[in-house]
Amino acid sequence: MASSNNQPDDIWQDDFVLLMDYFTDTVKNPPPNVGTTPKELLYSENKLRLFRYKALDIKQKKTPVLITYALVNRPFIVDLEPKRSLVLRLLEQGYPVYLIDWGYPDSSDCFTSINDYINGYLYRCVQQVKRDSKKKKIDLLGICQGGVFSLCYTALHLSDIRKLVTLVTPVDFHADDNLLKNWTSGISPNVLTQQTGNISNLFISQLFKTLKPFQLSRDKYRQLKQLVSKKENLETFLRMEQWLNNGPDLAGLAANEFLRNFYQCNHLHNKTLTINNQNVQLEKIKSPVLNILATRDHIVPPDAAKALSEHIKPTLYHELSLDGGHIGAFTSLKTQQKLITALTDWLG
Amino acid sequence: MNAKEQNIFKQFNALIGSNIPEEYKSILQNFQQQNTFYQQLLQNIDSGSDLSKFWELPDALGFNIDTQGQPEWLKAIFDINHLQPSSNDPFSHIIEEIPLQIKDTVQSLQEKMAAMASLHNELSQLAMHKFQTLNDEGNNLPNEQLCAHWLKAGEEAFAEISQREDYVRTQSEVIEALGQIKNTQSTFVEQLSNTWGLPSQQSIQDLQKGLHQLRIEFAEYKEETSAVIDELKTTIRKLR
Repeated sequence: MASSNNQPDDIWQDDFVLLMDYFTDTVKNPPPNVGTTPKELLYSENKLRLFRYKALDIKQKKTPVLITYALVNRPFIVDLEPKRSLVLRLLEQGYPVYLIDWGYPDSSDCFTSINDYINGYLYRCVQQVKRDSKKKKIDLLGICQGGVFSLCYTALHLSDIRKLVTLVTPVDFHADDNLLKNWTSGISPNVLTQQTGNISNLFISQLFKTLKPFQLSRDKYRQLKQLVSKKENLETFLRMEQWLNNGPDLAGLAANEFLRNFYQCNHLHNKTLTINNQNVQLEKIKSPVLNILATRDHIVPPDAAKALSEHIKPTLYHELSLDGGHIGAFTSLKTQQKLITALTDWLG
Repeated sequence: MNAKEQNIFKQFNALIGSNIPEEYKSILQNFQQQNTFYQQLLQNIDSGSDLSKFWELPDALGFNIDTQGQPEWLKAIFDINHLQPSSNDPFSHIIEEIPLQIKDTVQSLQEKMAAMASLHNELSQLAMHKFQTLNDEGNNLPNEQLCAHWLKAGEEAFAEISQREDYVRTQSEVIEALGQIKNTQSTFVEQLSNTWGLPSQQSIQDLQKGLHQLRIEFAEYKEETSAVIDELKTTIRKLR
């Protein structure tokens, strides 16, 4: 018969007091900054911002890397803090790095479509990076839904991309263990839009929490000792909370299209996806592709990402597995070295 | 409550009422609430009480309509205005106050919610059974191990039940029922707007589409111009 051991209260109380003391002194302990790697605004359009990161004082590689993140959550996760910054690691290797910040859609953006994002915003950002770097082709690094957009873009604009990296990117949305696909299969997309015509970030955030409800809603707040034992642990936690709780709404039309075309109908993997009346065929991609997946990813199960190998010519396709979760794959200190080594070796 | 606990309570309340950043307040409240939860869990384990309530999914997700009302994430999509749930029948007062067509959709929602509650109850029972199996492997397990077993039991039970066809179907039906309420409300509000000469939803959407189209056209025009200017610059450089 199970029974608990005593004296948990005193330890927790002492740790909670430490946490409260930390929060009390907001002059000494303001909310930690995120996305602090120096950058400058290269281009803006409506809510979108295209940033160019300031090069470090080292020899620069020739081809720039444009990072495209998902529409869900903010892109500064790739530059969460100096120790956990994919951006900074790339800069340290001499890569010119650019980042798309999609911004916060409002009600005037509710009719933004997938075509607008891929053949509009992303296209114009790629052209800006080409002009700025004076290169005819660039390297594209897409993360999660940003990887889906990057795949579609590369298939539709063959001459723009030298090399493509997809990171935790779903291709087969009907692969096994895809809980999101199961849950969204019977839903009419329009039912989730608000008065603004967009889908609230509160709902999206809750949806992701519901994938592991007990871990993400309760267990996360049990590890108090680990947080208060070291200031940097707490600061990392606070930065992650900032990222989790400040997501944008999703433009209604694009969200509905993504739900219907990818999650419900799996058009991309089935080779039946059309964007702006053009058939998106990943088989047409002529650029080398490095597909990086996370072995413990509960949002993009490994098989959902591995399915890309069925579409890209074997001579062009490279795959790398990282031991981690969806976000941990590129924020975890354990996988960082393996990730950046693979990127450096492959991008050249 | 002993003196130490009183001091902590006092400091906590002072911070929640102060002007520290809202994100700090939210984090403090979350840690405090979850600590209360885990303390109750461990106490119930000690006393041999029924543990199934500790895997109640709506409670874990912040949706306990008896005590907290609609959570913000649900209000963001389905704002059932002026909802004041009673302990037995959360939607009963709405039925008395609003037109018949909404009554039907609310009743439909109640049926679906009841089906969902039944599945959640099944999840709790399954999790409790798994928890007992895990704990039977050892005696006098430390608290850390018990909490780890609680988590494992809960997530495994959830993984099993949430992928079942009946769970997926019932969840979809709840969302569709909420959507029907929203549509019925929208129709009702649209009728009132017409009566009062306010812009219709269609006219607002027309404006949104028009603005969106203008933005796209302008951006495309800017891009074409930038491309031409860049080409001209390149040509001029070559000519020099």
